[in-house]
Amino acid sequence: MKTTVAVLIFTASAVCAAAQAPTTATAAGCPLEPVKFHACALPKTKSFNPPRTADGRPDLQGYWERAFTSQDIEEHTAGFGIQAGPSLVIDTPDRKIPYQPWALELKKDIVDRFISPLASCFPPGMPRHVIAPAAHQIIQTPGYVVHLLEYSHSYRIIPTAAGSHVPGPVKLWQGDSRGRWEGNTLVVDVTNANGLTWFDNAGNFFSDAVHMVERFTLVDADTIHYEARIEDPKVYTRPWTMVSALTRNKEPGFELFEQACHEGNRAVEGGQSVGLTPFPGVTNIRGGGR
Amino acid sequence: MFAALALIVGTMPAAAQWLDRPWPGIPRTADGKPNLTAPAPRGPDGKPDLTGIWSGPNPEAILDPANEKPWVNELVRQRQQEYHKGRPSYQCLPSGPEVDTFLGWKRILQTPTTIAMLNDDLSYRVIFMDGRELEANPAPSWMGYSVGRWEGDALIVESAGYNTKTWLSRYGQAHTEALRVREVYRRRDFGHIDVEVTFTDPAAYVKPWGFKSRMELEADTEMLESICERSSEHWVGSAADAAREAVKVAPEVLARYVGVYNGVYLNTKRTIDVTLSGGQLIARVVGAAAIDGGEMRPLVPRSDTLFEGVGLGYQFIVDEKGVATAVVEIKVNGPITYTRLK
Repeated sequence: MKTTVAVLIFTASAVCAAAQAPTTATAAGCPLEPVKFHACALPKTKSFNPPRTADGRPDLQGYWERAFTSQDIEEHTAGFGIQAGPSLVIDTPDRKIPYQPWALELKKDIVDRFISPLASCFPPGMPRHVIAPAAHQIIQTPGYVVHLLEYSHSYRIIPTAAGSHVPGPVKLWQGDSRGRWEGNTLVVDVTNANGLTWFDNAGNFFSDAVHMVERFTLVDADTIHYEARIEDPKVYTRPWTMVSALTRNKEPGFELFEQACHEGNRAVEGGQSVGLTPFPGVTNIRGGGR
Repeated sequence: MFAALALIVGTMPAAAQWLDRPWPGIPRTADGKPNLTAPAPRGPDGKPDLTGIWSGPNPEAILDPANEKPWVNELVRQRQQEYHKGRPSYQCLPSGPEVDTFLGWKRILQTPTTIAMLNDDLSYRVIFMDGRELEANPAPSWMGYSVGRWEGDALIVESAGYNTKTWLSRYGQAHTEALRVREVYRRRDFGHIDVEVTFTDPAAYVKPWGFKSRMELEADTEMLESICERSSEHWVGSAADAAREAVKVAPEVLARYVGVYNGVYLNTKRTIDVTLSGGQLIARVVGAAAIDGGEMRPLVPRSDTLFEGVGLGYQFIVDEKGVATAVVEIKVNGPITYTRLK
């Protein structure tokens, strides 16, 4: 019973996600399947000379869409309102997230116990912001990259010029992003996550100790190779890497609209009515408090 | 007792942006502090560059019932009766064109074709600077649709396309879908932007109205997110509840509280003007930025000295003759004492 209702709660966003599916099976001449895309796109980034901003940085600006939905970053079959999709994990033997045994146990029934953070209209956090539903826009100024998201009307800001992370005790829904340019790649170091967000609707999770290193590289004018290396000694047996293509939305006159996620949102009540509770983070689930 | 107040803390602007984060490459005075009066920076196109983290004083909306159409008057009255619990930000919804949002914490980033205004609640606006016009009949949205242009060193932003769910002030001033907002921004030096906002909505207001204020650069710190995690749907309390629990206080006692009281709220001087009208005490709360008048709060007696005014407690401090010397506004983020001027 619980399972059924929990799935229904996610249906609204899943249908929306399906509507945003990419129309091209390839990007930059590479298949979208993450391992294949990674192998094919990375060499191309070496020879591609990207368009540049006035201050000489690769120009990532424009409207973008993710290659796959964030229904489940591990391989999954199609379901009601859900597209089948490959695993975004590229560097573990079974293409699964290398959970520690206790974490794998938690993962098994996490969506039967907890309300999806996105259903509660919380900001998506990293890296989900990058693979979140609906349209994305990147704006660059000297010293900053801003990633605007239509979904839940949120944004992330990546300072690229200066600054170290905010102090460790500061925990943020969107985490603290610090960027730098390595050649033509925007490398973003993310810490200070509050550990209350998920990777996807399947309940794949990390803790507030997570450290991510993201890499954004233009493969051609209309394709970004996005990679996130995830390290969380509280939850995984080893660091691992996920990859997705981001493809440019070239629709003439396209603009972001907005989604006031809390507007008429009854998903939380639906979850509570069958005994689900807000996801309190793994530190709280395992004890020790936050 | 004043249960409706419990949620106010969640809606406080991010006043505590406390991080000490020196910004490299900004003009500084001899003692190393940011030089807020240095010349305003300019972009490659020669226009003033508004990039930075900014905040301004918590503005008081101008409440001028005579300028409101009757239906707006009625909505303002109803929303006060409900202690403003339907205010969009109390429901975790975007504040759209509400007065407070023009001066709250925000980061501005500027390119020649786009200006992004990023609020600390993660809502944002994109102002198109590519010369496009506003649509005649735009789709309604929470944050509206904005186009900007430069007139000399002034940035002029025109916006339309708002839905009718947003308020123009925390007091619940309503608007129609025909609302147009005009903003003028002048970065007069490194540390200050003069802001002028005008609301035009003929079906709701007799004449255009708005406010002037100033944003200050929040140099050497960082803007952190301020996320609304729970809406205020479980707020309790209303004017009707307060009336049911009211006690009777003799008119000669009430008369001893009539006067003008002064205090400071969120670094803004405020005056509370207490009058007696038809046997009921009314507190008119006026902030520094108000021009035409502040909010009128009926004070409902809970005892001879304690009153409820739109969800806040008002405790009169009296001398041995029962004459008020001060009034303490009781709210969840701490009591504020207003001393009597006259």
